[in-house]
Parts: sequence; structure tokens; C-alpha cells
Amino acid sequence: MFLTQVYKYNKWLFSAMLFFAIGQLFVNYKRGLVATPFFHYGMYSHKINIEKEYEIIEVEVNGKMLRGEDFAPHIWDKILLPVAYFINIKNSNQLYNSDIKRLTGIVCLTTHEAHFIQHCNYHSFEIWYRKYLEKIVGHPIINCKLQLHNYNFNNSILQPTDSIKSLPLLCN
Amino acid sequence: MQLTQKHRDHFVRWFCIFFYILMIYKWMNGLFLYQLQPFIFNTRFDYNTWILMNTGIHKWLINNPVGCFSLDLAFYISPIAYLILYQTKPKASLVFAGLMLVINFIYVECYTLYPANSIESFTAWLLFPLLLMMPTISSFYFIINGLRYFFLFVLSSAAIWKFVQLGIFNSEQMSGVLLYQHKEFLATSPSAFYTKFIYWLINHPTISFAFYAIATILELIFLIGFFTKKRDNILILLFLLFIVMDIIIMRIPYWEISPFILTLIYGKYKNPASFM
Repeated sequence: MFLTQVYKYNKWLFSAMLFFAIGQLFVNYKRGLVATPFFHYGMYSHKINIEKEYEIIEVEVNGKMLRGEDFAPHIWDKILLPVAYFINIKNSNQLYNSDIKRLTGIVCLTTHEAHFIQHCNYHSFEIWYRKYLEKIVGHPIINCKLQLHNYNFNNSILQPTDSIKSLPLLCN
Repeated sequence: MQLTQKHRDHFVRWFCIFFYILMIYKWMNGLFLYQLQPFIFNTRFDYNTWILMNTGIHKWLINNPVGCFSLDLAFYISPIAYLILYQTKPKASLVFAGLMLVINFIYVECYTLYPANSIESFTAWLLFPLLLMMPTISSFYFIINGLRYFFLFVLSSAAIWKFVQLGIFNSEQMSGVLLYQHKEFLATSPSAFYTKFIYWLINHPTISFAFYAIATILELIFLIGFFTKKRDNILILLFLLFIVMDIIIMRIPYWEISPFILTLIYGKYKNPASFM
């Protein structure tokens, strides 16, 4: 057996490998909390059903909606991810009070709140995002509109509804 | 065949080749830190990430082009610096690999806090410096095999989780996954061929579920690697198929994990200690 060979070769190396294996199994057993490099490789393993409603990020540049088909997958991700992160600021901030303070306290680690909290400043975000997007689309951006649009999955396709959420309201 | 120093030399060269091909890919797509110029981050549920975040380095890098460029430089220069040291001063290269472990940890942690990529796909860059730190060919043998088992675990555990978390028992699973994964694409490009293809899969749950089931079986096959190394060449082909299908069906570029192929290639050689 591999681990027996390692044990015979070097007890320290064996201990390190055993620690790594146990750490990996522990993270998988506990689910939820991970600790780099111990991850949980779920890869869409939890149940995902077809929903009636979907919230969709829309990016409009100079009056024209950006379309997924015009970009390679990783570039499309590059366009959407910052907006998704902005929308998620509230959840990201909440993690500090709900878990980080408590769980780091177990090992007597004093955390600095300011390092975990971000302010929801849409104006600054928009200025940065416009510059960031200009590099991707390759032309100057005069007008940039970001929104979260509700779509219904009806008659086998996604159909837009009248419900549109403005980004500045989402992270406050 | 026994693992020799020559194999280790080849491994180091291949490690650098993988790293620099991926570097060119990232540079051409504006995915270096200095190109991304991060402004925002997302705190994840990761204990070690919190420890790093507590230093404030991720906030220091925001609106800091010089800081981002310096970290890019440190991360992207270290494999070639290691290779030069490995060929000229082997003992110093072991110490440098330790430094590389720290650099890679800081870089990957920060990089994946920003809107760039998920941290799980960077595991190869986090763990491979451990291999480069090994002073003897025997310890190199044990670590490369340890990493091989880890790689097999990553893929096979993904299959096991599909049973534990019940995804595999849900007949509309893949249709739900496709809608969730591609919703922005589908909504913004209704007339694209790819949209029609994805809608077709979504609206034929049996066929889309067949893809999910095939992916699960493909991941389960990696369990074979725990019992024999004779099928490692097949596992390499299956892994490449997995990456390509991930791009076609899911539009997820998973290239960053590809260096783990090296563990299947070099893990097949026998323990040099057993020949002494």
C-alpha cells in the first residue's frame, strides 16, 4: 500500500500526507467551510431544478445590450463577474459578523473588520467598471447601464418581465 | 521502469511549459492582475483565505497598479527562476521552491478573491511547489504519487457527491444546471446557434440528463486509478475530454487544472527506493 511505503521511507512525510488526507476528508465530511488547499469539489452535485424565475444581469453599453454570443466564454465571465460581485457585496459583508469573527476567535485571532467590509458605492464602481469594460469592448463608453432583470421561464424559453432592479439599491 | 533524475528533469521542464502556455493565454485575455486592475472582492467561506485577508493585502492591491504588477511579476517569474536555479544550483532551487509555495499561495488567494476565477481550479499552482521542494528522487516519487491520488480524488469525489447530494437522482438536473449556467447568454443572445442548442438540451431533459450521467460515470472511472496505474493513459484522455466538454456544454474554461496530467504521466514510474 502506498501509505505504508511512505511510512517506511520517512515518518515526517507520512505524517504530512496523513494530515493532508484527513484535512481533505474532514472538509468533505463537514461541507460548507473550507480551508485552502482543502476544498469540496461538488461540481453541480446538489439538486438543481428548472425555476420559474431567473434574475439576469444586463449590461448596456452606449444604448446597446452586450450579447453573450459576441464574446468567448472567459471574456463573457469577465464582463459579468464584477457586476455579480457588486450585487453580492451585502452577503460578502455579512459573512464577517455571522461567521468570520466567531470562527477566527476560536484560535484567538483578532480580525480587522475593515479588511472584510466593502462599501456599496455605485458611483465609484460605475466609473471603474466603465474603464474596465472599455478595454474589453475596445471602444469608448459614453453610457453604461447595469441592471438585474427578472425573466420567466415560460414556453421553453426565458422571457423578460417588467421587474427590473437597479444595482445601487441591491447592495445597500 | 524506475523513476530517475532524468524523469524529474523532464517533469520540471514540462511544469514550466504548462505554466507559461497558461500565462500567455491569461495575458492575451487580459487576465493578469495588473490588467484586471481589481476594484471589488468577494469574501468566500474559506478559513485560510480569512487569515490572508486579515493582513489587508487584498485591499492594498485595489487601485494599486504597481502592487498588482509586482505580484504578477513575482508569480510569473518564479517558475523560470526555479528552472535556472535547478539547473545551476540545485540546493538553492529547493529553498526557492519553498518561497514559490508562499508566493503562489498569496497570489492565488488574492487573484481568486477578485472577479477572475474560482480558487479550486488553481490547486495545481498551490500544490506543485511542494514537489519542487523535494530533495531526493525518492521523496519526489512519493509526493508526485500523493498528488496523483489527490487528482484522482478531486474527480472521483465530484462523482460521489452527485450521489450524496442527490443531483444524479434528479431527472431535470442538467436542464436546471444549463439554465442556471447560461441564463445571461440565453437572454442576451436569443437567436444564436448556441442558444438554440442549449434550449434544445434544456427542453429535452432526458438527453441533457444523459450528459450529466455520462459526466458522472466519467468522473467515477477515475476511481480505477486508486487500484492500478495501468489505465493512466486512458485517464489522461478522459480528463482531456472532460475539459473540452466543459467548454462546449458549460462554457467553463478549466485549463488551469491541466498540469495535474503530469502526475498521471510521471506517477507511473516505480519507486526508486525499492530498487536499492
